[in-house]
This record gives sequence, structure tokens and C-alpha cells, in this order.
Amino acid sequence: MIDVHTHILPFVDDGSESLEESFRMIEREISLGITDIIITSHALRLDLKKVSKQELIDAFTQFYTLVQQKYDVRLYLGQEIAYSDKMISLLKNKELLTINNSEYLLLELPYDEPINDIDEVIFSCRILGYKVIIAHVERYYYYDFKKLVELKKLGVLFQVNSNSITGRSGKNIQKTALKLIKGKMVELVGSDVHAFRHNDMDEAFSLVSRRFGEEMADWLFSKNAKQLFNIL
Amino acid sequence: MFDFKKFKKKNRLEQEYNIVVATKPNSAYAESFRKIPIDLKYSSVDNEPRVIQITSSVAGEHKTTTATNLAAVYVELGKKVILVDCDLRKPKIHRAVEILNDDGLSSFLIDKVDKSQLIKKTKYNFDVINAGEVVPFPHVVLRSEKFQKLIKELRDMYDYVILDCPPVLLVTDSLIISEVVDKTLFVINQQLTSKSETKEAITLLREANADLAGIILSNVSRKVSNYGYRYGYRYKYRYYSRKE
Repeated sequence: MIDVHTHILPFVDDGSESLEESFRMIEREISLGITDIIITSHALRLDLKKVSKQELIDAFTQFYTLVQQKYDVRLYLGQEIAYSDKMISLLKNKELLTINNSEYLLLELPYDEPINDIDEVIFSCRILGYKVIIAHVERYYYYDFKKLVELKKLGVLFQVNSNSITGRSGKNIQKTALKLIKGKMVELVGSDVHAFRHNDMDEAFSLVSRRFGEEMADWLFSKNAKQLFNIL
Repeated sequence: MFDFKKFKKKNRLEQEYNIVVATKPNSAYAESFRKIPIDLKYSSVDNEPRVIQITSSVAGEHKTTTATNLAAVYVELGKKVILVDCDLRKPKIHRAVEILNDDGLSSFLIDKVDKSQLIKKTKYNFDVINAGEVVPFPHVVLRSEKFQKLIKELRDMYDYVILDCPPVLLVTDSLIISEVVDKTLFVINQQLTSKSETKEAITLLREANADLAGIILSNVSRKVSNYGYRYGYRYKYRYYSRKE
């Protein structure tokens, strides 16, 4: 399995707060059968400290060296980019990271209210050569299923959290997540693991296999990510 | 599960605007746009209009489609054309020509960018000035001397200057812009706009002394537009007289 959304890299966002904690998170991932982990540290979140692209790359390189000494797991770097007015100009100046240097970026939308003109944001990303994956798309309360269908028509990919699938984030969110999977609108599943969030990728995988078949689970939990992010 | 073919299929953003004159030059739809310059020329024979404003009553009447296709027709005729997005509230030209909406008209008018950054080349061989970032009071910046001076300069630099403007019934911007243009073209979406809305908008333009060259009917139903052609034109140009 591939975990496409994690906050395992320590000291850079609200994910792991120590090296030990990061190692524990990695051990958990390995125990669940995950072989490839994409680190998606927060970017442009106003409530978190700023970490530059280079600082993040340096932190990742150091961390990965330590991880490789202890564990048999592969890590890749990306960012979970929170939408802000500055986002497009930062993307233009290549100051933000895509997932594993692919053309795909993980976009986190605001939680309180929708972006005024999301069409324009997605359009601008496309013109700059980026393709957008909406992070945990089931969690934005202002998007009902109909609006999510409209959003999908903009040519974006959808990522769903594993704990939404298992129901740990609430019944409504679970319902939306499963409906999206049933409608074949989801491409990726990730744990979005923070120190405070339980990683239940295994349970989610079993649930998707049971409900929608093992083939579908394989695509969502592994094959799609491999194709999209050039993971061998 | 991940269907790359499906993903590569055009999404909604890619299907938004169709500059058929460039992409499907042999279509009847493209042909209907080619009539516009001819009729425009006849609207003022001795003094052919070169700075042309395109507006409508309400949103969604295909102003941007008309403006971009008209620009493409002039390009076909070997003319040098620039398209200016004067809709500073809901800009769309950049979407039609697929460029980023940065360094635009609004930023220029408030001295944030200079003229060299303003004019963008497009793959359709006409130039474009984007609307730029949204400003709180577009009508104020559009009334500025700097805007008038810019249009004058563009008139000297290009054969034709086409201004895509916001709808008349929603904001006053188009009425202000009508003062600096040679002619105004009025687009009516036949399936969308009511007669009373159209009348009201035209009255407002007249009161602002806009020189209305004619109306363009978009989204015309086949029943109305056949002239014996089976396919029917989607665009239709009509000369507008004060008696109508």
C-alpha cells in the first residue's frame, strides 16, 4: 500500500513533534503493510510557522537518511498546500512542492467557507502546468454531493482520508466518502496521519475491498498513486 | 480504476470558450462571425470603427465568445488586433485564450505594473490585455485619464481594438467605456435575455450616448436562424436602428 497523505516529517508542521514520534508513525505504517509513504507537510497554513521549500527539502533529506538506517520503507516528498491568495504567484515562482516532483499538487481548501472562484484557481494551476488533487475532499461541509460532482468536472483528482472511510470522522463524512468511492470519483486514499490522528489505512482497505471489491481497493490504495507519482 | 483516457478528456474549464474561427474555421458557426466585420464596416462607411466595445444586458450572453472570435476574424483578414478585458469584476478573456490573469488592466491603472508588462501575446495571433486582479471600484479606475490615454495609444498601435465589457444592467462600467470607443456591439442571448431587459439596457446605452452599431444574437434557435440552411447559424448579426 501507498500512503499518499501524511504529516510524519518532524518539526515542520502540526504533524510529528519529535523524531521518536515520527519513527513510531513509520513503524505503524509498516505494520499496516505500507511500503511507500508520501510526506505532505502543510504549506501556506496561517496558523503554522513558515517553512521554505529549501528548508523542507533539507529536513526531508536528513530525516530520510535516518529512516533508511532503521526501516525498509520508501519516502517521497510533497506538500499539502492550503489555498491562499498568494498561492498562484508562489506556484508561478516554483516556490511550492508537488508530490514527488510530479505535476500533481495536493490542495487543501478552506474549512469555513468555499473559495470565491475555485474555477479560476484550478484554471490558473492548469495554465502553470499543475494538476490539482483536492485533499480529503469529503471533509468540506459546504460541498454537498452535487457540488462535488461539479468540482470533479473541473478536472481535479479527489483524495479521501482513510479515517473518513472507517467512520472515525463522523457518520456524514463517512457517507460522503463512500458515496464518492461508489461513484468512482475518488482516485487516492491517504491516512492524513498526524500525531493525534489514528492511522487506519488497513481497516479502510478492508472496508473498501468488502464493499467495492479488492480491485477497486488496489487502485485507490496503491496503483493510482504509483502511476500518478512515478513510484516504481 | 484510474482512467487516464477519461482524465485526458476535456474538462469543463477546457470547454468553456470556443474560438471557432481559429479552431473550426470551416464551420457555419465560424462563418457567422465573419459577417460581423462586414456589417460593422457598413455601419460607418467613411469612418470604419476601429475601437469596438462589446457588451450585453446581463451575464452569460456570450460576450467573451463574440469578442475572441471577432478578434480571430480580424486576424484572418491580416489585421493587427488587441483584445482588452474591461470586465474587471468577472474577467474571462484570459480563460478563453488560456493565459494567466496577471499583470492586467486594473494593476496598470493603479500603477502596479507598467505598459511593457501589460500586453500579452496569444496563440491565436492577437494580443490581449488581461483584466488583472479584482479592484473594489472598477468604474472609478475606468473613468481615469490613464485608461483613456491607454485606449488612444492602442488605437495607434493596432488596426483594431476590441473591448470586452461587463453587462450594462449590472454595472455602469460599460456605459463609461462607451465614451472612448467608436462603436458598441450589443450581444443578446436569445434563449436567456428577456425583451424588457434588452430594451432597458439599450435605453441606458443610448442615454450614455453610446454609438450602437448593431446587435448580435447568440444561441439562436434553428427555427429563427435557418434562412434555408439546415444546420442553422448560432450567431446572427442584425443592424440595429433607433426605430426598432
